[in-house]
Amino acid sequence: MSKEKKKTILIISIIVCAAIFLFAVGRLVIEQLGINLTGSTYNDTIESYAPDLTVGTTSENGVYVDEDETNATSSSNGKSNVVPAPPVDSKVDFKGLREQNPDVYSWIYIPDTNISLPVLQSSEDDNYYLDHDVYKNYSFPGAIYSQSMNKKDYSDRVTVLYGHNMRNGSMFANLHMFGDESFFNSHRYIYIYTPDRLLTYEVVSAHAYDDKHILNSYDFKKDDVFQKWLDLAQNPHSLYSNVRSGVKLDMNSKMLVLSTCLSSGDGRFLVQGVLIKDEKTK
Amino acid sequence: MKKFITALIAVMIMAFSTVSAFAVSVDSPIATTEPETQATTIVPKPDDGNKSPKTGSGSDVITYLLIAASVIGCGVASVALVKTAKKN
Repeated sequence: MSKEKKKTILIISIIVCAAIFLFAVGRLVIEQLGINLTGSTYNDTIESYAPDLTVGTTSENGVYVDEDETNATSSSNGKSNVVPAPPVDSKVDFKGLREQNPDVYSWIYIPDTNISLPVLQSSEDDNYYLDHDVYKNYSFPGAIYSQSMNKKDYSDRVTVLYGHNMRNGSMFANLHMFGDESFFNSHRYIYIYTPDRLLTYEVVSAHAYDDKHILNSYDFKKDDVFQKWLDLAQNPHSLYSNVRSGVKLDMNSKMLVLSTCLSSGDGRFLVQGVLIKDEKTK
Repeated sequence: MKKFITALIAVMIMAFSTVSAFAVSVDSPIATTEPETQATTIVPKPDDGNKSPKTGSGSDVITYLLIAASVIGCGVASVALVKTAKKN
């Protein structure tokens, strides 16, 4: 091979490698920018449409006074560490949200986590919000959503909400905090706002599960199938699990299942709650 | 050489345009198709799969491998190029 030819081949190789490098770096940068943009989009959404439910803040009247006070735990400095709950009259501006996107039908709030987000359901594609944000823009983190098998009024025996396990802690990543025993013990409640109701769910368990599609795999209208699911909620066959004892579940229970991916492997991490209070909001 | 570089740039543009993040969509200011006279019916797309939706955080392993491989390739080719030039 002539020297000139060799030189040309080497120059071409350098150009190709540089192009691949730029392509890969560009892809990473654009992906990260998209994730950051989605994060700020959701922060703006909270501030605009649910300012009472801003992540990391607590309302003055937001201390949950539980009848048995078991929601209170003692911190190391001896002070009572009561996990605050949102006020019943928290105003989520569903009208404004629905003007932006009519698929928004509720809002999920879990105290002391990043989870204060709108919940959506698409009538066109069950997994549309897996990669679209609340404004229907393409976004890898997507949105918190349910599928059309579930009614939007949370009246099903089992309602499943999905969200990404994002590395930056957004969307449903903070569900994994329930894998920590002390967090699990001190955080008993999940709150769902609908346009006219506040639903309070008591967390029954948090556990790893396989990647089976829950609603497609079980017919919860059958009592024996539902009973098996309740048994699983109270006795999950997983080493990575926390269970609250003493929570009563029966055939009238309305379960809320929050589903996200495990940090590794194909499984899912589920946080299961049971409806304990259904209040009218002002 | 010029032809080759031009072809390479063309290939790069085509490759980038296949990635949704890089693709630029431009709405034509002129209607090129007849407007639909009937309302389109939305066909719902139910999730009838047996696997739960994948809600992982995504993996960048391949992208990092590409970066590493391109850096190594670039380095090796540059060294070889310098050696060739020195021989001259």
